[in-house]
Amino acid sequence: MANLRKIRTRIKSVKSTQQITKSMKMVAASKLRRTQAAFGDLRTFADKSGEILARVSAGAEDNPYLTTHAENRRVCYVLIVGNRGLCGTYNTALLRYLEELAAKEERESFLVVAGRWGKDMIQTLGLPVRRSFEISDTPDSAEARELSAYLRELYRDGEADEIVLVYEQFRSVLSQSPGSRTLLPLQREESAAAGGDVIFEPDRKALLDTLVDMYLDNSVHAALLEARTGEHSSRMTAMTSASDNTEELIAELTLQLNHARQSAITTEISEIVGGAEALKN
Amino acid sequence: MAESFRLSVVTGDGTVFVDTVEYVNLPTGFGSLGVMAKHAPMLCAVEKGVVRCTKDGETIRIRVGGGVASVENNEATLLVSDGERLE
Repeated sequence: MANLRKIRTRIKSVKSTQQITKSMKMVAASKLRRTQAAFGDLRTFADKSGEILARVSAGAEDNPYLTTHAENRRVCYVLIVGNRGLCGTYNTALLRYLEELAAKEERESFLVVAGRWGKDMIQTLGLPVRRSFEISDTPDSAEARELSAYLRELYRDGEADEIVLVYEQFRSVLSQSPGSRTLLPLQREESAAAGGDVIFEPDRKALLDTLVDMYLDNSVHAALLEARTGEHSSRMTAMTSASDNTEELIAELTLQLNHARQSAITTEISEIVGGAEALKN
Repeated sequence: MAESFRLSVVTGDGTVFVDTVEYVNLPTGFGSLGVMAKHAPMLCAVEKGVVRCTKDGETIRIRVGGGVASVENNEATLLVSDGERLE
């Protein structure tokens, strides 16, 4: 009988775990939809600003973010981690990637972290963390601007000679892979439509400054959204398989429960029959 | 009726406004700047303020943050940090 009760409690606890994993999956799915929509909204803006920037920046050398520093000694890694765990290998794979990247790096390097996950884990890398940013689950342009403004300042003041974004790049809902992209100095895209008969108001220099700032904010925003999209889909996948596992476990436990109950009944019957037989004699 | 052209106001969080209009008035650092159909290609820095545009004689106002306006091929695109249509 004790065995029966044990199995029943076990089933109960597995069921409540299943409830949690199922709801986490639903939450991740809805957040995924939201970030994907935001990503789509941003794309129009990104395409257009990239196009205009290419046109204005052609031949221009007078913007601090387009020029490389004479000395290249310090590199800043911007690590975009998730906000929470329970999303498969999403965060740990990224950390391992950064570890490899930093091991190969000969320049002095430091970190800027965006996201709430794993403060202790990040510390084990042994890289100094300059600053941490809180980034929401669906980052908007205001959050991106704050981070981007800080990074621009680092570069402009010569605190960093190169700024590299390190984050999980989104391939599909089922696959993300850690990667890195240089944010600063800004890579110039050559444009066929360079210059032309375009009126610049007030002048090319002022316009370029505004555009570059916007373009950088935008790149940071896109990276944040891409990383978050990956986080949500990774969590959704992890929670789907967790829910499937609990389903299997419940089926198995129910079978065990039925076995145990049947054998308890059989024992009881044979005891009664045995007792009756004994009385007859 | 005056000729019309396409105006779109785009921010990083989505498109705020898309429609054909007859006239746009942009807030810039050197005063306000009016754009009508068939304007020469222009790139212009936009300051924080209110964009006024006219469609069928009605004035539509859109509050915008700083950014850039691109006018080309009878199409005006405003890339701004934020924006909101005012009623």
